[in-house]
Parts: sequence; structure tokens; C-alpha cells
Amino acid sequence: MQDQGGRYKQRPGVGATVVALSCLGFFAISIPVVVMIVTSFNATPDLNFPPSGVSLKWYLNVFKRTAFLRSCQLSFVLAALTSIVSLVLGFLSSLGLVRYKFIGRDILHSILLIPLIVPEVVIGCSLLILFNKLHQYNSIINILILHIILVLPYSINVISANLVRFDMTLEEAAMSLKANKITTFWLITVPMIKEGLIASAIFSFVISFNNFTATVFLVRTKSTLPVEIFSYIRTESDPTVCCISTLLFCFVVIVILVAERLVGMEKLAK
Amino acid sequence: MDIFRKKRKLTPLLLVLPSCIFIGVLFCSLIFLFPLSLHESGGVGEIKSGVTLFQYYRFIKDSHYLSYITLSFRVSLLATLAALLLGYPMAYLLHRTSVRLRRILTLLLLMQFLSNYVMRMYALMLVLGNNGAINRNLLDVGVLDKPIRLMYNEFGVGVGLVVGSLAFIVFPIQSCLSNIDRSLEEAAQSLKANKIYTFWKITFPLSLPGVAAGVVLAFLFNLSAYVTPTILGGGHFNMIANFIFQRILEVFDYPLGSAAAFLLLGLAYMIVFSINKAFKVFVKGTTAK
Amino acid sequence: MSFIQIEDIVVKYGALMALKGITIDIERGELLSLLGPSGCGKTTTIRIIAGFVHPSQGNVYINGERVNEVPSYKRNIGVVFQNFALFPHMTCAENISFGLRRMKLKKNIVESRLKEIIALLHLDGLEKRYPGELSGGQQQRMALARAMVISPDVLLLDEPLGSLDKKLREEMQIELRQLQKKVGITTILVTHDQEEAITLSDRVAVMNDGVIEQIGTPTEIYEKPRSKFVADFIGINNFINGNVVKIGNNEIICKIGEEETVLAPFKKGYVIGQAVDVIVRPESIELSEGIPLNMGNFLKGIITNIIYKGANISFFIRLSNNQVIVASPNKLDKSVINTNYSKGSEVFVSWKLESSYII
Repeated sequence: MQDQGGRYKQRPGVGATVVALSCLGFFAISIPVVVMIVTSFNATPDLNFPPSGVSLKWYLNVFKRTAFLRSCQLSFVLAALTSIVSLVLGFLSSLGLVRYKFIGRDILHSILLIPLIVPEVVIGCSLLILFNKLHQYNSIINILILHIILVLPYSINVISANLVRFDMTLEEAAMSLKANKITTFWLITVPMIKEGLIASAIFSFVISFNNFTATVFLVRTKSTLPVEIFSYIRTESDPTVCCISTLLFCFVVIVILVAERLVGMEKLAK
Repeated sequence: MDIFRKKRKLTPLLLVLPSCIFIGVLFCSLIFLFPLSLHESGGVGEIKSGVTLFQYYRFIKDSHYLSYITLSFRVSLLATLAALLLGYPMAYLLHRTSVRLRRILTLLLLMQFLSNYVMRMYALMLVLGNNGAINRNLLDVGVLDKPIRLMYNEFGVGVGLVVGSLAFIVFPIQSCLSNIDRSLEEAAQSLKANKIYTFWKITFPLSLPGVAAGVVLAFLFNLSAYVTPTILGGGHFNMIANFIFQRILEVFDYPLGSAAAFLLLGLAYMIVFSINKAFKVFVKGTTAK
Repeated sequence: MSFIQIEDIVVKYGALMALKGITIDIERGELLSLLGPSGCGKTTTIRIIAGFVHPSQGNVYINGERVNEVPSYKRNIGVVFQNFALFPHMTCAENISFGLRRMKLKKNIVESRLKEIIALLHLDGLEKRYPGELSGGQQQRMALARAMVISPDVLLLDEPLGSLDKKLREEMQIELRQLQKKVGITTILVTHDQEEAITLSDRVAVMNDGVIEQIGTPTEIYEKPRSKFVADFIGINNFINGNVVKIGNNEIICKIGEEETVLAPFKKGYVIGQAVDVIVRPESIELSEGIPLNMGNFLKGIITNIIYKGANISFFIRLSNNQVIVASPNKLDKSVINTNYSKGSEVFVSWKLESSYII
């Protein structure tokens, strides 16, 4: 490759097939979203693409339907709670797993990651049966427990990864400078791993908010937003769903951009 | 002195305890589920007493029931392979490209990945449906006389699975690629290996851990998919998860449903186990220098 | 034309100039060291020859052929990287024969050459091991074997001994030089260790901040450094400031401080009044309590510090012009043995005319 300003490394370059296939891949994941956003502005109550007119009336419809608003609120609250609880639990567990050596540590670690292997359907239906057996019919608490279970492995993984890289000598230095354990914790440890904590919190929030398959088993009268959207799709076929989805999508975009500002793109070390 | 040692030993266990409680709930639920699968069903919602493996036997013997597993397996396998075919180049592109482009593309992937998957499958419906983007445009242009069925069949579900699991494949592979020491590729080049040879002999083998991780995640996800076959299958193509859902929440046939659930669980575990094993056999000595 | 030639090479990374116009000619079979501090451009220079970096300007010739546009895998080079870059997923034998297999040779030739190089580098018995299972020294030899077995035109070594401990490093240095001489392979070695450069090389190129300060044999570099930087880097750090007062046929006289003068061997290009540095190698300085006889130069001074360094003793001596120089005579030298020097003692430092050099 000819360069005027000495390129630092002569990278082996990227072949045409790679580019072609990648484009196909990126297209495949982007096109549906684009179509959805465009369709949300459809003037007519159908799902044709390209749309025959532009209108915002379906957006109004979203806000008129109280079911959507209520379920959105519920999803939000659940997600926030899940995020906070899993942050605390994940942090504590990671501390225990990373900083201490004890018998059965590896086994315990694997056990805590089990929700990743068990299919959501199975988790959903088995929790349903358990709660029925225990006559625990408060669906909101049930769903909260479910979400925490689903989210915990991710939380532990992300925070552990950060803790493993954490340099213990920083804490030792702080303690030699007369900071007690609690002060050291707040002033040194937490800020240093805050990226992992933020990433974990955001991940947990999103996973909980978006969850459908397992949640649908435990939903009774009050439903979460994904469940509400799903039932709407079953019955109606106007662009309203596209509108909610577009709004949600914008929300996710904003969250990611904010997170990226705070944390940077390397939080994808899964 | 003894108290302190005991305290030290206790601390990690105390730290991990809360999480264990939650996971324990899951364990309990699974433990409760299992016995259910060992009963015979006495009609809707009723369970006859007596322990038997009848449900499992029934599931495997009946070709209709078994087809749920085989079809799910087939479409998941194909979808995972297709996702790998698209996903590896995507990961490679991300790895090799400029920082700016990488950021944009990663953002793109993330935005899609963190969006609601009900939403994503629905969006696919808009593209694949009879009145959807593809059919509409091909009809207008005149390439087709009537719309082709891209949805409500195995193909539609397959496409949905591919789109849904792409992110699971791309991220682990890209992460693994970025951990490969650049000097290894330069060393290969100094030893007369051209770009393609360098890729096949050096880069690709060293990226296999990422491939394995991605494939496990994607396959598991696809095999137990519920939303995708429901929305894009429209009842014409049901997978295992649909079956379980149906049995438990609609027909209330707990024994058969839970048997199916455990079969799925067993299958999932076997997949994880065997892919990891196969992988270890293929790649020896990749434990870093 | 010499065997390897780089001509007016300029390398820019954006606004930063890593190499500012480098020209080096390397003869077939010689071992040239590129010596300099971190960031001086020495690694960039061999990466230019290897083809991993493209110059913004300038030409690279290997064996008479201009290779600017030739990709690395078509140049006939062998590279040993600082971190060895051994392929972790291949055995020792597979690693070493990697380049050979690319050369489309007959199988039995590959095997015999493999055997040869393994014996030459004492890697017998390790063929089936993986890099992760070998010690640092073994890995280093493996990296060397891999690069050498393909009989490259030039061997490029990027601080190959940097990660070894001192004893191993010294052993490997000797082995490396013997090997290089035996096989007769043109070699370019990058190092920041001046001792290593001086011990191993036919010639040394001292680099600083993207330019070559001096190229010459180790003796030339050591005895006639061309600039303060080179002298300092090579380990001679006695610079006595003075002004030229007289230029003779064989010597130049410089005034140091108020009263004293030193003589330095004649060198062209100096005028009266010019401010110069006279450098003296620490190990050539002798101490005496009285004015020494038969020495070309002597100066008065006071000992400010004494440090024992095993075989030598370093005396830090403040001269009349307040400069401090270091004398490191061998501790068994007649000028220090049986003497009673201590901090604050007044001494005379002296050295022969030939031991100093003017810059």
C-alpha cells in the first residue's frame, strides 16, 4: 500500500468478501429498525412500506392508551429496582469471589452463572409453578425476583472483570496513609471500578426493561411494556407499535450515548 | 486469634450469600418442576399420582412432539451458522477498521442489541411480510407477480434468529481478536506468509476461543427462542419454547410441559458442554506465552 | 553498492517525525548495532527494512534491489521481536519451520534444515513443546532459530535480549555473536545497552531523536565520539568545559577555569577562543597526591565522593572550575592501591594526552 505519510502499520487489510459480508450483516440489523421508524409516521392504518403519507397521529395514540403508559411505568420501576439490587448484590458477590480464596469458590461461581444457561422459558415456567406452590401471588414481586435472577450473572461478570484488573496496591497505599477500610472503600475502590459499576447498572436496567419471554409467565393483571406491546401486536395492526418502539429506541440510543461518554466503548469485554 | 480466622473465612461466604439466595430460588423452582414431569396427566390441570418417566418417553416416541426438538435444533443450528458467517466478517471488520468507524458500528450494534427484541422481530415482520418492504418493492418494480412467503415459515423464523443472535457472535469474536498480539501477524509476514496465509494460520486459530463463546451463546439463545417463532412463525412454525408455553399456560398439561422443559434444559447443557470440549480438543496450547 | 542500504529515510506520524533523514550502508556479513535511548527511532529503522513501516521519503535497498514497494513477506528478511512473537498455538518445531513451509521446499529438505537449526541453537528435545512451556532463554533461541532457518538476506533483531536476566543475557550475547559469525549472516541489532552494542558489533550507529549521530566501529565510537550525546551515551561522562587558547601541531590547548589548562589531541576545525568540551574516559584517569610526572595532563581537585563498584572505585572530583569529573581506576591500580584517599582529600588527576578527546 502506497502512503505519503508513513502509515504506522502495514495492516493485512480487509478483503472484499469481508467487507461485503459485513455490509450484509450490518444492513440486516439496521434495515428493520429503519423500516420501523419510517412506518411509525404512516398516515394510513396499515403497515405498508413505503408509507403513503406522513402523520403523527399514531404517536398520539400511544399516549392515549393508558395501558401503554402504565406498563411503561411498571417496566421502568422494575428495571430501576432490578438495576439497584443487582448492582449491590453483584458487587458484594464479586468482592467475595475475586478477593478471597475458599474451597468451592469455582463451583460457587459457576452456580451463580446458571441463569445464563437455563432457557428463559424454563426459568419462567418453573418460577411460575414455584410461586403458585408457595401461594405467592403478588406478580410484581415475583417479576422483580425473576428479573434479579436473570440479571445477576451479567452483573457479577462485569464487576468481577473490573475487580480482577483492580490494583490492590492502591488500597494498601491508602491504608498506609491512615485511611480506614470504609474510607478506602469509598474514596479509592469504588471510583476506580465505577466504569464497571455503571456498565453493570445500565446492562441490568436494559435487560430487565426489555425482558419478555420469562416475564410473560408471571404477568397477571398488571403487565410490563414488552408484554403489552406483544398483546397489541396480536390484535391490532396499525403503526402504533412502531411509534412506541421508535420512542423506546431513541431512549436506548440516548442511554448508550450517555454511557459511552461516561465509560467508553471498552465495556464490551464480555 | 481463632475468632479472626473464622471471621475471615466467613466473610466471603457472607458476601456471596444474598446472590446465592436468589439463585437458590431458581434452583428450588427447578427442583420443584422436575417431579411434575414424572407424573401422568389426568386431564386439564389434574395430575395423577405415581412416578413415571412416561412423559419423557411419550415426548421422544411421538414424532409430532419430537419434531419440536428436531426442527428447533435444525433451524437454530442453521441460524447460528448463518450468524457466524455474517458475524465473523463483521467482527473482523470492527477489529481492523479505523477507530472512528469502529465506534459508529459498535454503537449501531449496541443500539440494536439493547433494544426490545419483541420490537426487533416486529420490525422484521415489516420487512418480510407480504405487504412488507421487500415484497412491496419487488412487486412495484415488477420482478414478482405475487408476493413470496418470507414469513410465517421456517425461513422467516430463521432470519429472525439470525438477526437476533448476531450481536452474541460479533462481540466475543471481536474481543478475542483484539487480544491477539499484533507482533504475531508481523512475525508471520516476516516469515513469508502473505495476508491470507497469515489469517488462516495465525489470526483465525487464535480467534477460536471467541468463536466458541459466541456460538455457544447464540445457539442457546436460538434454541430456546420464544418471541421469534411466535411473531415471525405466526403459529405455522413453532419451536420448543412455544410448545412449553402452550402446554403450561394454555393447556395446563404440567407434566408434559415440564418434561419438555427439562429436555430443553438437558439439551442446552449438553450443547455448552460439548462445544467447550470440542473446542479444547481443537486448540491446544493457546494459553498465552 | 553495499548489501543493505537505506537512503534518506524520513518517517512521519502525522506531525511527529520519527526519522528525519537516515542513511546507512551495511556490508554483507556485518553486524551493525543501532544504539540509542527510547524513542530515538532505532526500532522504526529496522521496521522500515522489514517492511512493516513505509517511509514518507527515501529508499530501501536489499541486495541491490529497491524494495520500497515490496511487501514484507516477499522480502528475504528474518525478524526477532522484542517479545519474541512466538505463535502460542504451535509447537516449537511448527514455529521454527513456519517460514520454511512457505518456501515450498521438499519435505526432506525442510526436515533436515529444521534438525540442523535446532541442533545449532541447542533446542534438542524441545520440538514438541509449546512456547508457553519454555523458559525465557529457550524462547529466545526459538525465535532466533525461526528467523534464521529461512536463510534470510538480513537478520533484524529488536532488543532480543532485553527480557533476559543479566547473566543469561551475557551468555546469549556471546552465543549470538558466535552464531552470527559462523553463519555469516548480515545482522542489524537494536539495543539501548551500550555495553551490548560495543561487545557484539562490527559497527555501531548511535541514534538520537530520529537522526544518526555517529556510525563507526566500537573503538571509533568509544575513543573518538563525535558529539557530546554520543560520548555521554557510550558511558564517557567527563566533559570538561574550556576555551581554546592555542592550536599546535599535535595538540590543542584549552583553558579550564582561571589558571589551568589541558591538552587534547589535535583535531581539525577548531579556532582560538572556541568553547569546547574535552572528554576523558574515567578509567584512564589516575590519582596522585603530588604533581604527577610524565603525564600529559593534570589538574587539581578535591574528592567529593567515593563509590565502590566491585572491580573499580569511582572517585568524584571537583575541579578548580567547579566541575565534577569521575575517575574510575581499577582498585588494584598503582595509583589507588595502598593510598588513603577520602572525602575532602586534595588530589591531582592526570591522564595521558591520547586518553582525552576534544569535542
